[in-house]
Amino acid sequence: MLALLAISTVLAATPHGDLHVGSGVGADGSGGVSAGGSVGVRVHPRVRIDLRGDAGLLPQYGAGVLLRPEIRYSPTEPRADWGRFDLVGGLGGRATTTGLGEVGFLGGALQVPFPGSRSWDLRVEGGYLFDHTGLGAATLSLGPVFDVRRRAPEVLPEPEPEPVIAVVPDPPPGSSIVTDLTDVEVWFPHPICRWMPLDQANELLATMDEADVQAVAPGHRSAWLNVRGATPLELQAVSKVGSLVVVTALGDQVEFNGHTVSVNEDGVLLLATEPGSVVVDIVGNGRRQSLDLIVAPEMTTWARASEPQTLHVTFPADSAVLSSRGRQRIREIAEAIGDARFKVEGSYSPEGNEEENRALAADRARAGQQALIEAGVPEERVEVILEPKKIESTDWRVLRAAVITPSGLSQ
Amino acid sequence: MMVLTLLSLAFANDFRVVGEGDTVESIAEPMADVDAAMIRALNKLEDGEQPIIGMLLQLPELDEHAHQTGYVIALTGTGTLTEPSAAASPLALGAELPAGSTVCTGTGSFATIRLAADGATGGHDDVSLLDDTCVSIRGLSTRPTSRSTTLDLGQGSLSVRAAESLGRMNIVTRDGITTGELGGFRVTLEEEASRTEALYAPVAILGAQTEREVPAGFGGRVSKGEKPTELTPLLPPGKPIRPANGSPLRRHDFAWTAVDRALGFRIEFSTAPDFSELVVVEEIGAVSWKPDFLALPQPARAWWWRISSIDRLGYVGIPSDEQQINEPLPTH
Repeated sequence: MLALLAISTVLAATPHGDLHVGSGVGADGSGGVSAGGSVGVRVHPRVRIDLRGDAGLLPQYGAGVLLRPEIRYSPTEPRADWGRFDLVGGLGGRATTTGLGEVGFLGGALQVPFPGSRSWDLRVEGGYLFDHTGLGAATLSLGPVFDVRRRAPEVLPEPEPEPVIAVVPDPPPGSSIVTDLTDVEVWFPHPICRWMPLDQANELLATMDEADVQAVAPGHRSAWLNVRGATPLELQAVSKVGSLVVVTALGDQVEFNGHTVSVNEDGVLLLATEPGSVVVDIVGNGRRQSLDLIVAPEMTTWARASEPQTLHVTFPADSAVLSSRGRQRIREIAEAIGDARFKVEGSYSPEGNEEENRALAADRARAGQQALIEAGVPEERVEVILEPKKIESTDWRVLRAAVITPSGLSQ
Repeated sequence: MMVLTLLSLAFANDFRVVGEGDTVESIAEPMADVDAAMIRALNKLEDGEQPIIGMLLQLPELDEHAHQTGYVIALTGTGTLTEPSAAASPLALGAELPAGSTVCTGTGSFATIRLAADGATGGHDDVSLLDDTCVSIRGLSTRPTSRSTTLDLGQGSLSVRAAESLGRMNIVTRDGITTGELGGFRVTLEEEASRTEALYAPVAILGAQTEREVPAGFGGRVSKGEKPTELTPLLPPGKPIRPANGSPLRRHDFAWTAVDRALGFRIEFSTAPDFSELVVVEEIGAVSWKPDFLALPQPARAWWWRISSIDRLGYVGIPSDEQQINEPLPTH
């Protein structure tokens, strides 16, 4: 029985494969050493083929070299919490001073996240060697593996809802804001984007049928108004007001402490409020986010929502049939559409007939469109591109995909 | 011998750093009220003995040169003040800083202290402390023809504002001394050395009995027991691109032009256009800064920001022109 403890380090890793070198020492009745490396190519998200080479001295076989193709199969998706498990099998030969050595190998490898780091893994690998004598040998390799691929983002916990503080009164008909406060400034959102004193604001309101405006006064909390008339403005006095500015994206729906608030049409929320912890919930453009913020007295705090992300849903070669996982991901972004729109475009890999490929890309776009509609997105808010652009890429996940882009990028 | 001399003068007020070519006589000559014998006696020098380069020489003071007191003139965040023979207390705006007191800023906190001030000319020496910085006031003095401040920088980084009138500022560190007469320089204590950047006026750095003049626009270092390093020209700043100067800050997204050979940038925010009221300082490895969060105290008028380049040796260059940004909401 032969046991090997090896340290291996991947020099470079890409979505297609990696290059690593390893070294190790054997431990059995008489001892042994070996060192080597391997290169690999990923041919499928779950399948990688490696070519491994080792040189060493093993007591049973003497000095020699090993050349062995290996195939690695991942039975499950890689997970952010414990990593991935691969089954490894190989068939090859070891030329030694005494003739043929090892002829086969079967085993498994576990990559687990290295504590405190996003990009280093610890790999434990076990296996079984067969040789011409019929004797078996167990191997164990243990070592750090550098992986440039990013792990899945952490899921943020849902925040507890905060008590209601925003007050938006129903407006009676008229053409101005009535208030007993003197130093009021009124914010007119896009396309005006200006603060103005109350008297100027009333002049402007008189020329408008309807307007959503925000009013602030020194020492008072912001209030939003839909002005269709002589609205009595009630602003609540607060001892030390803090200001909050949240940059969101066009098409986002925003809630402040559980109440819907209007955001300027360029996606910026401005408000004055009393100090304390606040929660800003943002839904739209295929993402859902909660910002837990502290508004400090006499401070202005800026925060931003995450940028809307483009979703790539992949297809098998020559197929426009969505997987169940792909449908699930589309359902997830559809539920977080907010007031945004989606654009769907298919892609194709360059092998085969160009015309058929372009038709395949259009079918993939339609499959994405259909999945969005089935998930509840109104048809008029889905734009489908049936004339695909040629994509210069070697990544099959980009080339065999339906790409869903939210419309409301903030910049 | 030199260490003993320094310790015995821990609470003295007027100090002169001995530079190349200085003698007791040349130092005493412009001062009407002091002669060479008084200086020798005070500094325990034999008759005819001359001080070594880099020595901190105490100058005699007459009664009319009343001991001065510094003041905290700007404070963002928290800090501590330790007066002689007293326990540390929280630092407060307006706090008096007698000679011998130590001021420390907390993490994310900034302070500006006003040191030697000259009532006749209105001149004053102001020093801004970055966060996690400690300085001890060794001496403050005003004479009819000059004034001087001597500080021990125990940790962190300070910036001496450009003075409107002549005022000598001596910054003593574990490694050596930086001294200048017109302000406009920074001193930073690093792990292995003290770094000086002369921004707007020349300074001198001294170590291992060697003096090196640092012209404006250059930086140099001195390590304990070693001569000052060769000088390095400071990088020019990036030119601010956005947000537009004078606009309300609705998107906290800052950008500036790239600078050849710059490894990073320092962005500073202040509630005063002369940057005496620092509120945020960040170092960034790109030509833009788009933080997830930014919090600034509401200013009386506006905020100002500026950018400086950082080179591969860690020198922070001359800041850009200040850029004004306004409150996005009216705060009256």
